[in-house]
Amino acid sequence: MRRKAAKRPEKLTDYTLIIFAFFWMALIIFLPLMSVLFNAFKGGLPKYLETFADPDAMDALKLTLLVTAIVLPLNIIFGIASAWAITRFEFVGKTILLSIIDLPFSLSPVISGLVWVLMFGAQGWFGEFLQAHDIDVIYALPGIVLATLLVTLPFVARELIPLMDDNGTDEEVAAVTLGASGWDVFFRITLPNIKWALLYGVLLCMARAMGEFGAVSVVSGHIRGLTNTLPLHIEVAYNEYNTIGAFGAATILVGLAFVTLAIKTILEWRYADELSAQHRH
Amino acid sequence: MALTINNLSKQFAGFAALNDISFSVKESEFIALLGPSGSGKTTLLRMLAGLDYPDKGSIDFKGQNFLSLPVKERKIGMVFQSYALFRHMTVAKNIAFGLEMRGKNKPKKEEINETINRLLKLVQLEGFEKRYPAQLSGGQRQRVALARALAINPSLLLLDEPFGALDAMVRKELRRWLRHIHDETGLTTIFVTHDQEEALDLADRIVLLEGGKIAQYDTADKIINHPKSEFVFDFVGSGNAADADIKGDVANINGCEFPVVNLTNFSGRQKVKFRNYDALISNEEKGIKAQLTGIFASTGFLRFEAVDNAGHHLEIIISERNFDHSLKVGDHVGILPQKAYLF
Repeated sequence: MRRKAAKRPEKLTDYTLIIFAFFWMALIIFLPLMSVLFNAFKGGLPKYLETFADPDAMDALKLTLLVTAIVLPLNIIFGIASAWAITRFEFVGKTILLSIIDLPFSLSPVISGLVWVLMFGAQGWFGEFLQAHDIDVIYALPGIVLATLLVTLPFVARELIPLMDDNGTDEEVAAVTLGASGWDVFFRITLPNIKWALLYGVLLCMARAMGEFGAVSVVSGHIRGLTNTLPLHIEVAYNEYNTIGAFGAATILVGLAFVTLAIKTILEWRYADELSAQHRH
Repeated sequence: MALTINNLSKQFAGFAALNDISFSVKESEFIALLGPSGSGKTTLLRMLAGLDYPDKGSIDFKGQNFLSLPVKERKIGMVFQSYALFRHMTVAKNIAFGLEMRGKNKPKKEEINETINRLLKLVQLEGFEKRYPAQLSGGQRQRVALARALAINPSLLLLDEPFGALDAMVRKELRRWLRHIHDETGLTTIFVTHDQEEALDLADRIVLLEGGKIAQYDTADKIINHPKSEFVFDFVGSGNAADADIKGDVANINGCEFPVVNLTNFSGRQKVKFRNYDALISNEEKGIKAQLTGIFASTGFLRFEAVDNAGHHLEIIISERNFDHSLKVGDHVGILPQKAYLF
């Protein structure tokens, strides 16, 4: 069934509504983002490029990329495994698992950071044990990774679950009857059917992992060159009146956001095409 | 016997999905597993495929203990109600999938192409190699699914409600065509259906299941004309019930005498059942006294609805040729069964 297509605007009110939508977007999203570029290039290109010579900024970028590189594969594995478990098996506690996966969406990022401090901080449950064995979790890389993991946990799974549910298991069972092994079924049937949704989830997860501020801020300790991620570095630079440095670093994050958006748009276009082909009869 | 099933039982959360199922199938036979939903027919088919396992019992196929073989070693061709075509693969890739999965024994490219072409011809879909499943109609998809199942040269073909998702016209056409393919390939075939008309029309023999047990395993003719139980009688067609005086193998209702087909030791007043087409309607004061409540025309026959004196509803079908045009709704008539069953 085809839904009725949108019509061309006719009345003045139609045009007013459209213009308002554009105006609102410009005011709330476009203008502030432009101000980032404006401020970054305020001192000219050479000054802007100095941002990339700042070792603290570069350490922050490296740390951000490192955290993302650790978190992303873990989320992909967890996302696929949990989506598989939820859509392929009936078990007690399935609804609980489904709700828990969604929890990070509604949880304040501060809480997502604080819970790790409560567990692994000096006064936390495992604090004494960790101190005794000289293991740093809080104010170190493991803490940042854990906080980012918690915040980004639902992205991949949430993209996969509805799609895998919709696809059902018939194709996989058919492949098994045709002699396919477990690996063959996964790589030749399951994965091709979920690849766009998976990529989409990975992109969302990546954007969030790189940009997360709140949760990471709680566990990081803001140690320059060591535990400052890019968003934290931006805040520190800004607070020290290093406007060009702050906005220069911010352009990296904004750039990442635009790249993600571009890929996402292309994917949605491809993915929607494929989805509608799947449902065409 | 090609396939022998012995004492198959399976419990699902306390209820018996299959209860002591035993039957055997001859080489090249076309068997229908028929039954209402929940009768265990799909569970039985899944066990044959290796997708489910019984708690007890054995499945022997041409001397192999099927239960000890994993799915991929059973060499079965399976067709699903949902077609289960691989949506991201072309028709040709779908058909070739089973051959591609053979690892070291994978046939050469030319051989695979030859198989694809041969099967597309068999299922009358030549020229569709490059299409995707989404670009096919339901009937075409099911034919591709069959071609894919046949590609691995199976020794047993299993079909799970293969025509369930198709509309009536395509259904009937594909049904004849499936029988034709079966007769051409000689493949032992087992298909699941809840549609008794489909099973009776298509199968050499029918396993009629009721609550996980075999109610009857017979040819269509035997199931229709010699049902072993009231369940079988009711499941394969419409019928009416009436009280009759039984003496030997003859029943008598109010001066109308008719034979009881399945000889029994009953005597005295008993409830008999008769098919809606095994009765006549008369103006005489004989048989079941009833009043006509409806006359409905159909192609080739007329359907009468009536209510007897006790308020029971009756349905009679009479060929248009034998129709007494003087009958009207509201008439008091005598319904004369021609033969009946006693369970």
